[in-house]
Amino acid sequence: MNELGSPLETFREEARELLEQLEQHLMQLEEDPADHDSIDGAFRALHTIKGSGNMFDLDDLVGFTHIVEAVFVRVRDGKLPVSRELIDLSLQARDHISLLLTATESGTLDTEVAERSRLLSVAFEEYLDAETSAVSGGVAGKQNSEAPKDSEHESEGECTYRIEFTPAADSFLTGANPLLILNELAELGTILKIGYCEAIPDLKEIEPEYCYLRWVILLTTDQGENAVRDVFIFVEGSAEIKIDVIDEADPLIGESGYKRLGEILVDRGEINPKDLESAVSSKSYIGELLVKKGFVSEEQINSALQEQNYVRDIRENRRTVETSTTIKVKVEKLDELVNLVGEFVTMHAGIAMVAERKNDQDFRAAAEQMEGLIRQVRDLSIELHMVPVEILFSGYRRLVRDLSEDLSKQVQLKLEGTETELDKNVIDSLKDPLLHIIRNSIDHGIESPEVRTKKGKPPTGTLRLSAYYSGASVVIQVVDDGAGMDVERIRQKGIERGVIDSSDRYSEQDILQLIFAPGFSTNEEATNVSGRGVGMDVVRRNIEAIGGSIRIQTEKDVGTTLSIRIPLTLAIVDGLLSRIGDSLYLINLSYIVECLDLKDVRTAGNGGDMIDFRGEIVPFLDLRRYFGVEGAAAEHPQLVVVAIEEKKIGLVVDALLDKYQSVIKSLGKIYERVEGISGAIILGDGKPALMLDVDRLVKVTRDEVKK
Amino acid sequence: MSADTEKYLVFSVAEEKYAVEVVRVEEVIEAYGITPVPRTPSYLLGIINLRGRIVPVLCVRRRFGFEAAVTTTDTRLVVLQVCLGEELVSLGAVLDAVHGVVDISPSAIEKRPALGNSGDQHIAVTSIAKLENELLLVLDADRLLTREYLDDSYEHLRRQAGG
Repeated sequence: MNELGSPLETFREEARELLEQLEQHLMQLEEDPADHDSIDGAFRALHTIKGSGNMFDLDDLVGFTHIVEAVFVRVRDGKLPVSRELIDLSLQARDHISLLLTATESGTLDTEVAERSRLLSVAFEEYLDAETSAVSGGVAGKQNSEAPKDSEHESEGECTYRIEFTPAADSFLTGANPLLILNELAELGTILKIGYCEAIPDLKEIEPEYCYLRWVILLTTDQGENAVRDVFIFVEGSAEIKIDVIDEADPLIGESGYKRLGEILVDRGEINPKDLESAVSSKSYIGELLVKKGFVSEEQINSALQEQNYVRDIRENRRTVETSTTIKVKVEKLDELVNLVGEFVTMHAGIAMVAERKNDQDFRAAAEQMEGLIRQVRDLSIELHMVPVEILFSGYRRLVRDLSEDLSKQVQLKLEGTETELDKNVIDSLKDPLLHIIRNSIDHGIESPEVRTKKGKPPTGTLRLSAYYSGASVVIQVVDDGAGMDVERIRQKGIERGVIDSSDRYSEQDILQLIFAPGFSTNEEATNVSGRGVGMDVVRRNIEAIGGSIRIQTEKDVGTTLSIRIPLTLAIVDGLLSRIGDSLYLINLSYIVECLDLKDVRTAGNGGDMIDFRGEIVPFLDLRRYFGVEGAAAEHPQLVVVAIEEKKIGLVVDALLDKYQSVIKSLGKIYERVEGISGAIILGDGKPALMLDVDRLVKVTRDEVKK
Repeated sequence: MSADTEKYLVFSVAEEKYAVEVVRVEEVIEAYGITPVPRTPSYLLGIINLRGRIVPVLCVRRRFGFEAAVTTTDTRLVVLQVCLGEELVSLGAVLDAVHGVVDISPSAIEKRPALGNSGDQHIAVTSIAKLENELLLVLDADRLLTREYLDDSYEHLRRQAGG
């Protein structure tokens, strides 16, 4: 069973990911041309693609990537400044590499692609040539010299320092307690302190208030050398301090060993190389030998040995940490896991029910314990399936850039709440709808710089993508500061098309929702970007398909906000089990506002078809009647008040049972046209029950009231 | 048993005997534990849980235009694999009784055009098997429920509710 694709397939997959990263780095560089991390990132991505491509003899791909990489070497070395043109060209190169990658599937390169390779290569080679003149002009060279070599250690990950610290003898008198300094160092990272006692005199000669100790400290930290130096700031003048970098986190160095003992001693200046050589030549244990020969003290040898061990450990650790932080897992496997855990939850509900019925204390206790465990497994498996929306959002940077260029508009994209996590499946289903919304915002929302200036707005428009948690949902907003929607025009259009009538009973939100109707567009001129109203109905359908809803807020000349509310996960739902007739139905808890006894509720409205819910007049739906259940109504019908986007309705059911947590299963093709039911669950006794489609019921009920 | 015979499941609905290819049959179970789904055509009985899978259930009697029968100890639920549109789906069919499996040679099967209107039992019967002492109506499982018929039924239901 070979579930993995061929190595070449794996390479393509990885290369595509790297290209994504490359694009992100380039977009970042456009905003901040001096961002070292992005320059390095872009270089690394290109370098890896080239390197891996080489293994498969993909000459076209490797050759082209090599030239682009060469340019980025110059950029990284500060010999070539990042310019808008370079970013432009690099983005084109990125797309071209992607094309070449696709070409590796068929194995042939058509002449058009080959020609483009050549043209782009020539363009990049110009940068390689231009570099020499730039350096001689001294422009780019200057930039480089501004970065002192030391600063390299400041951001470059973890480093191990050897600090030789000899406090002044009178440091206790001046209040510079070496112990405090050692403690402070320990806070920076992993530390090994080796104290030297050799300077302590005989007891009768000791001056009790003097410090006779010195230390060699090995410190592994990612805080940078300056942070280490800062610790010594108050003793700098009096103490002897020597700081050396002895080990760096360099992915290229794979070895876990460290310098040999003799080398360490030479490094520290405790022995001169000549003495070492003479000792080594006599072939014995080096440490013993050096002590015997009187070149170094035993203490010095021990200390060096400790250093050897310490660095070796740090390196070992780093290797294990690096290999164990992440592993790649196929999404399908995660899907399967989430599904199985879902079954597990369902099955446990069955066991719990039996335990309850048997009324066996031990059995019940065991079932309860199991529940806790299952909950943990469930949460973990759902967590595994969650990814930050950053992945989704940052994918639009390129779109915004290209689109605004095409439309001669200036648009700045801002991302907020990118760390918000969502189910991977939800993210996938949001990709296209968001793309459409963003296109619309740039095309129809944000005005051209001239118009904006005339309106007294800054010429550059802002498009904000933000995400935040709200209960069991995540809200994603697309906010533009453009022209806003013309509600009156949409209303006129709606009347024209006979979707609404001219009465004033429609709220602004109702009218705005019309833009999601199939084929509805107020835009007179079609553009090749967003077309004529094509797609907004698809947008809503896609979002509703994952249990989401969409809302519009708009203000003329201030802008438009589209808010998409979606459930955190599609897999498992917390619901309230209720009974209607002989059947059980699950109502999603996140929609429920309150449950009341129907007899405690006053009806309102002319036909008694409304209820007075805390002063608010709310329509309600008798589900017995809606579902055509025969027989006498229940004695104490219950009212469940639900709300979607603040639209409330009451649902009348026969009885409320229990909270219930379950996987939602699809009803399948045959029942896809059923109204008011969105899926099925399996109860503890193995019988299926139905899940109410609250979204639909709210809509149906409120439409009914309008008529 | 000659090599070129095929196995058929024999069952009865409203006093008539039918045969359906065994390869289409997933399993035969008791017609028990059906959860009705409201606002659906009357021939759809609801759903069952088939080892964690939700399977829709259809009443063959009602589908063929007969009155529904009282469930007896003979009543069975046969889970069939049927094509609905482009997709292969599992469909539970509630029948009056299942009699067993027989081998039928292709030469004993006579094709005939599907007769009757879409609500009739003959719409799903495209051939007849002539056995030694009886005739069996051969059921084309894919014609038991078609996309068009389903859409029409929902449309009909919607008009009824609206009117």
